[in-house]
Amino acid sequence: MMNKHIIYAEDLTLERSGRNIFSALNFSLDSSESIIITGKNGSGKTSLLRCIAGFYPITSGKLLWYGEQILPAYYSEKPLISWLGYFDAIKGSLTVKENLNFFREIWSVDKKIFMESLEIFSFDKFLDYPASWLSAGEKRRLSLLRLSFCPAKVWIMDEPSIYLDKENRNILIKIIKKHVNAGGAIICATHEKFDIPNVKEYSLS
Amino acid sequence: MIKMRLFFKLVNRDIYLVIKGASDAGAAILFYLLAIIMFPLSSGTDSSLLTTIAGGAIWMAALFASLLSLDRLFRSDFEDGYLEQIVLSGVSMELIVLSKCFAHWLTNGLPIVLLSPILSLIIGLDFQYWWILALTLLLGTPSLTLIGATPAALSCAIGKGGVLTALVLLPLMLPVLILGSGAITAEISGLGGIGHIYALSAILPISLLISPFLASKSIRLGWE
Repeated sequence: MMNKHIIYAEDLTLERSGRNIFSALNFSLDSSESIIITGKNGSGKTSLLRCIAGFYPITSGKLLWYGEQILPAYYSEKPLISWLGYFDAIKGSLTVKENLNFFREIWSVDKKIFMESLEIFSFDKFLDYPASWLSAGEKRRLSLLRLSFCPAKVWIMDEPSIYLDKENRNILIKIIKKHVNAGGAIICATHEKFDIPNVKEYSLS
Repeated sequence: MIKMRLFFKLVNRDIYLVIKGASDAGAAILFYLLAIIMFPLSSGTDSSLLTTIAGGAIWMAALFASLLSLDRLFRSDFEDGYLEQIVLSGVSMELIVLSKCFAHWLTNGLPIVLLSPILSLIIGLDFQYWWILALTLLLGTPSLTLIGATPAALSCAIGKGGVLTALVLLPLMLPVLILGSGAITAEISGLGGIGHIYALSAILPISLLISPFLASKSIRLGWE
């Protein structure tokens, strides 16, 4: 009986319109572990993340979530991943508070956890602003804030640190460490060096 | 039960976005009003002529009004990553599609139905026929929304909409248009429009059953 990893990938291969994006990737992810994916622009980091989430169908190989052939984008029981993608899913015509509250309700997030996240990012003074007033960096902060109160165990992040200043990068490292220490798991595609514990690094070429 | 709660949260959000002016639904209703007010201005004041074509004219206006707002039914949420985020939140794609269709009908179809008795006065339809006009619209507008969901979802996959969505949509909407305006014409001519209404009400459950799956698949195609 195979040990049930959160994610287990064997011989993962992705081809898109005849072009090979990556092939024969093997990895596994367990609680309190992180995977950092590095590689130059166009090496398929985002494609790999989208594959793991279930947006792209894999060409061959095996991809298992909790030992089963389920994919987060097709799973409707509970959120399997907290997703920070290229697009921020922030509605400019709603206020910051309304943007956050919607996801808080959809995920049935505890008020305490929600307030804690707000405090870490010190976002309270922006709450009544329309989200369209936020700068790119503030939007990123808002996305990270949303990511941090999602009840899912696995965080998948695509370039989480872009647009962030030094102070906010430290906050990012802080929430990553907190999540990993609490038994969460992280997959992150980035060009930066993050000082986080229990990390496996994969380089795509 | 939890799924029902989720469904109404999603519907609520869409309606709130319409109120906040982030969607075209409000403008589409104004278009519907204006189109019908302009119709008698362009076709003369011959009241017997207007009576015969009034049903068809109101139906055409209703069709174009839903067409206008259907175009962006999924695209704005697709483009800003909201659909990605929500489908990863333990909500099935089919439920999302149904919630968006329901919200679209509440903000587009329902006002069209409610305004129709007043508009029938403006365009010169004999007032005793208001009920059949309202009934056909009540049965027809949800079908228009549901039938339109799949082309609207496909427009996400190809990344543009507008005229292209309209070209795909209009032929699909023909049966609803023919039966809807046909019912009114038949009722006015004394034949009785009830047969058309039966057929019209058969389209609704069929589209309700098929379209959530087709539209979900189309949105997923956009991601692949």
